[in-house]
Amino acid sequence: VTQTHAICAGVIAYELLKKPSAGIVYAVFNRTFYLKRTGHLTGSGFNNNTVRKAPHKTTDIDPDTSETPSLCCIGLPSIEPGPLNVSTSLSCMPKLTIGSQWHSDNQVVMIDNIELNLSSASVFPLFQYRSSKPGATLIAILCRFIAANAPPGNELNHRFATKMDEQLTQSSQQLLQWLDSSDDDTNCTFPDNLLGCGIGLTPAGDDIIVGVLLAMHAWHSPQLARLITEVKLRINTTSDISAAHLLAACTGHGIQSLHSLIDALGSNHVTQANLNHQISDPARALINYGHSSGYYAMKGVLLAAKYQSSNRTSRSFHRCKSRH
Amino acid sequence: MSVLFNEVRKGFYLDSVALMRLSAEIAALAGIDEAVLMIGTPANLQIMRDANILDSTGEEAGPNDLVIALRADRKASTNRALAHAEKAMQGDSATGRATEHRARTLRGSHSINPAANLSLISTPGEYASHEAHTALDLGMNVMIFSDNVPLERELELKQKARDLELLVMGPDCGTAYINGVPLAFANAVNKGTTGVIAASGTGLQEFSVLLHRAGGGIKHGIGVGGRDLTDSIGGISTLTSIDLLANDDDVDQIVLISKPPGDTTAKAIFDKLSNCGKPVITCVFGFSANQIPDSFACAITLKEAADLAIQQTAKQQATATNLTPATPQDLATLASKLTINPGRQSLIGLYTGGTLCTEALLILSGAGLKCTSNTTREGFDDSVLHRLIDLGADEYTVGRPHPMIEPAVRTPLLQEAIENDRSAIILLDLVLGYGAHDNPAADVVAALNSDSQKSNIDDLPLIVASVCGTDKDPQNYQQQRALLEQAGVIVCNSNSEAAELCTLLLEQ
Repeated sequence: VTQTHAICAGVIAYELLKKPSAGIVYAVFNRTFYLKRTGHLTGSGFNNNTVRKAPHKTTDIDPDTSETPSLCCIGLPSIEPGPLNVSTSLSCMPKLTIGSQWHSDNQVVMIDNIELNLSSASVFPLFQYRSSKPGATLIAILCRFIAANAPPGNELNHRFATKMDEQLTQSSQQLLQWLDSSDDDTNCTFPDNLLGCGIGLTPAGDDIIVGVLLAMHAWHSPQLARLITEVKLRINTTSDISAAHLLAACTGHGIQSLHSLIDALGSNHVTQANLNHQISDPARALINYGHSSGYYAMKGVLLAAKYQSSNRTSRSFHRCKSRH
Repeated sequence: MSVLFNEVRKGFYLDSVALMRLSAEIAALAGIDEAVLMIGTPANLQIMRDANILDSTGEEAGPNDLVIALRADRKASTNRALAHAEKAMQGDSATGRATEHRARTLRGSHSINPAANLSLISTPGEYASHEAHTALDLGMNVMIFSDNVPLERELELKQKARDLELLVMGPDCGTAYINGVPLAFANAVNKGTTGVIAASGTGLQEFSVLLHRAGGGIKHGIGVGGRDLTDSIGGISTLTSIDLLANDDDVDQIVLISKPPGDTTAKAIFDKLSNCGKPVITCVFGFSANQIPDSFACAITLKEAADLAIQQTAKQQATATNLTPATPQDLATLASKLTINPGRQSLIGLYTGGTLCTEALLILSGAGLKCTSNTTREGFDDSVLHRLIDLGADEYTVGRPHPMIEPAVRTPLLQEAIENDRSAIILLDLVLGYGAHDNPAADVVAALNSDSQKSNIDDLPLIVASVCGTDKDPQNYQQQRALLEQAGVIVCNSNSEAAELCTLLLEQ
């Protein structure tokens, strides 16, 4: 048995693993693997403290029914702090088989032949923002940064890359218009093709929505509840892994570099002396997240910032009223 | 008549990079017109449907499934493509990882990763050209870290690379940045829009560090090797690099850092740069402004070059910038607060970076101070008072590690200089970054502390230093700087500022 300990655990991952639970190894990548909780243990759970064994009967497991994410991501020490992420002391990725069972009890998770101890982990909590409004100058700097830092050459078939870019642009624009509208405005509908649009593990459209959700949480947007409702309605149109990240974002949880960027955009800490660095430093940290996830999440933040800074809601209500 | 084929892999995840790479690999196979690999979310299926590449099999995919969609000339081509995908996914996929495989030869390595287009060669010089030829034959660009490659071998390699439309960096190329990725001895700097061609490793490091600290970044930093700009080689790699940077839309300006080129080579390079269509900044040590075409921005020091690059970027992007942390007035104020014991007269520079040593020599000489150095063609002149030593030169590194890797090589000379009653100023550089020693300041501090038992501690030479590094470097610039400052070292923001401070102190 390989013994390892968790260094930092996101609060959702920590809550998911610390209780008596069971599930499967869901996906394995070069530096991380995902665990899916299929249920929580009932009754006595584990009855042997020295040799940890899986529960004897399937009746010991109650299926999960909650809306909270049932996936968490275990990785090497370099994995970024995030709500679903657990960085461990593992020096290399273990050999794991998809579908193999894991179970946890008393802050120890047994995954195949790995014993992961959570007891000394620091918990990455809900981020506390310093400001509830983005600054206009800082938004302009972010806008320039995004324009100059598009993801590295897309090796996807050029025709599809173009189509995907078009769809993302159109859907993002539609999302902005939808945010600009009210429930009464039947002409503005939530974009159906944004969630799940993109090739990878977390599609680019989902990354954009994660950025919007977190920024709207930070800036206490009145449209947040509406957006969460629409996202949850469509959560089955994307992959389970991406859905877990979206559900975390619905509760205001995201990766550290995304929170840091949103926080840096806060209007009440603009310092002229170091204006560019204030945005470019956290933006550069975020852009390194995933292949292009950080970039698209940043675009989502910008979209939310544009909406928020122009106080569109009040204008749209006036427009809807005048139309009626 | 083409064949459309879809396959769905249930519950199968690959990350974006693997998916795009595999899509490109399959699309490049013979007989394949189009290949797309995507997860089967409704949004993605709609794109595939619109593109007429989705069939009834693909329509069944769910958001957790991988869709492989192919359009080929015939069924046999799709079978070959699927076999390729299967093999690749077994290596990459969630169900298992590729076995760690360490190749013993360049050809073996290339067969594992046929998409590789750059080979870094670091063998003893006598074998380097053979390996570089192999790399070129395999269609790869080459970075030759090795030194002691004969001049005729270098010319042969560069001519071959030019014919194959490939690039040879080096020999003796210790630093490069390709697409923002640092190679060999390089600092952790931001990726940006500046393209650099450098015939000098530490010159490229100092420039990139100063650019980074001012808010800029490097897209490519191409090291061409110290001999490329001589007339014997004719600047072959420099000319290729100009074409590469000119054709890269993400590069908005080109910076040339070098020692004086040969006359014929200088003309060819300046002509090409004049027509490259992008703003050019030159920092050619030993060249005055009237030897540089008027259309280029001419920098005398690496710091000036970095400031010009930042100004150029700011002009294009209309952004606020953080320029010039120390002005001449600041240095004059600092100099006025420092005193040298009248009995002490000489300056000794102990450098780990050859170009930094040359830069300091030019600044001191330009201020009218007579200096001697092993970086000049004439070598040391014992009758001259001020002495600058490049400790990375062959005579100091035979059988020893380079002082950037092991700065303790400098310690005995530093102690000797501290104890020398004639030493007024000791000028140092510290080079941080990948490959460099993990705590170079510690050796300087140890040497200073070993002298602390001297009875008259106030009668020590001034120690002036600069640290070539960033906060992103493994050693951390601020931490290294703080260590030196705590030990009483005067730390300047750049090597040129350190040298300028020394001229002010010696002129007092």
